[in-house]
Amino acid sequence: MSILTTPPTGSRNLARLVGEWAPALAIGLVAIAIWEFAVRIFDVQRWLLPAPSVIAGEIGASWALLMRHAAITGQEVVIGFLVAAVAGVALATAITLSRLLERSIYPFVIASQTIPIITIAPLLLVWIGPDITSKVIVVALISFFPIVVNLVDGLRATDREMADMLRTLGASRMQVFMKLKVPMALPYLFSGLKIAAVVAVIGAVIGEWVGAQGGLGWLMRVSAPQFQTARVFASIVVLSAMAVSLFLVVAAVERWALRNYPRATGQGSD
Amino acid sequence: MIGADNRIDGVTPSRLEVREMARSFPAERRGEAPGEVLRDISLSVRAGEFVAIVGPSGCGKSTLLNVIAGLQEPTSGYVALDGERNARRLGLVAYMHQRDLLLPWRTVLENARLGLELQGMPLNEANRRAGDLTARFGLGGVEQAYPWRLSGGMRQRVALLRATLPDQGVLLLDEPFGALDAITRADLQQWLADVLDREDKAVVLVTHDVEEALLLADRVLVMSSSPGRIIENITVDLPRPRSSEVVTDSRFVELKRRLLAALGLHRGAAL
Repeated sequence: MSILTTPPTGSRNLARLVGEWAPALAIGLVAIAIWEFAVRIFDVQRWLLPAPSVIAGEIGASWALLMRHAAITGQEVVIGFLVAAVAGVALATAITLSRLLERSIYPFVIASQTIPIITIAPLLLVWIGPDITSKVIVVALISFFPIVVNLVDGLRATDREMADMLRTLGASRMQVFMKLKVPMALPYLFSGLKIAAVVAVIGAVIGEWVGAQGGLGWLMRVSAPQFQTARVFASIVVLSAMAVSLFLVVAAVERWALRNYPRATGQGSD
Repeated sequence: MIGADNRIDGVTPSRLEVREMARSFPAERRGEAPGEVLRDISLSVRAGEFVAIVGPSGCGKSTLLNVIAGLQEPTSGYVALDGERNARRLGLVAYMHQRDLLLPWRTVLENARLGLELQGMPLNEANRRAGDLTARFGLGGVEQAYPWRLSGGMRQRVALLRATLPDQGVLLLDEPFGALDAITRADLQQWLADVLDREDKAVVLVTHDVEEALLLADRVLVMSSSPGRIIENITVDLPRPRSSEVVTDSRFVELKRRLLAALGLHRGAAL
């Protein structure tokens, strides 16, 4: 379970943290440098592919505009993600506790994922209207699935002998669930939540793309036909930052919630 | 015969009594004979008595413990606790496995108190009760450690503390030291003998280690396989608790020879 990590303790881990991130940082800087020079050397048109420096300039120049639309998208993402988390945990719990629900509802949960979200988004627009609600629903629909599937897997993964041990100590079915299955499933839940955090941003953009009154997806949609390519890229940068931030928040909550869990490596020490 | 001990005093029923118990599993496919695991098992254990069961692999020892613990029900016959037949046994019989089965997200103390917690005891009282015994169990100072930081021997001590804390009258031990190295095992056998000597429990130990059985038990039952039956009941008439030097005692050697003979006559593929 690679998701089990121990939190960094103390400042001596700061050096290790920098060491861990240095390769990614180096690759990113090299890629940006190559992009910058390629655009300059081959004299690529700004509306076709703007150089990173131009995109950075656009972010600075349109900061207020970008932030206004980022606030709209961010609101959709956070509300949709929270709705998906609550509904996903509730449904996964119900599916695990009831064989009937598992057999009747779970196949439809999986089948629903074969419907491309891009075909549902315009329908929601027609049914609900262009305001934030239709986007929140798209975000929730797309984030819901990884949460449910991961948590159901986690709740099913219970060690049979451990459950028997609890029963010999007099545990009821509910106590086995609360004291064993839930803690055992927590790492799986966080895996699902981290995937959901990233796809939530994609969901918001899809929702805005098919019709909205604002948001970064909408901003990209209106900027592209006007050949304001730098603004499209600036929006992408802000969207990425948003997705990474949400991911890091979930990862931080995970580190806190699983702080007492064993590390992936070094389990057992004889 | 085997299991007649409880009628010697004629008044107090055995802590644990198994009578003409059989256990079989339904046939997996139509037309196949059902799998018979245990046949005509009778045994009784008084309070304070330590009974060991030895037998070849696959003789149904673990199934026998599972039935006694109440995780499975007998196909015929019965299990009685304090004279009460086929009562609900889950929660009344302590059961310690070869695997420590400690919950990795709980500290030593939180693992140890689990049984008390499940009974609904307030947590601070459960912590106090568990904390009072950690020193005796060789766990002083590691109460707040997580199991993955402990050695295998230490984890088994926590598992035994967890099993014994709810103060159930019967304690089942399923090869509790089987996964440990020889030195740790010898150390823990000695320690277990001392700890249990002060308790009033009826103990059933399943092991494949003949010396372990003779070191710890008042009586040793020998099982044969397919189906599992009890074929021998040997009383170990050596004073308890026994130190490890007892293995050189002539009486010990004689009993060991008898046990090995009983096992050898019905030896399975592997012991």
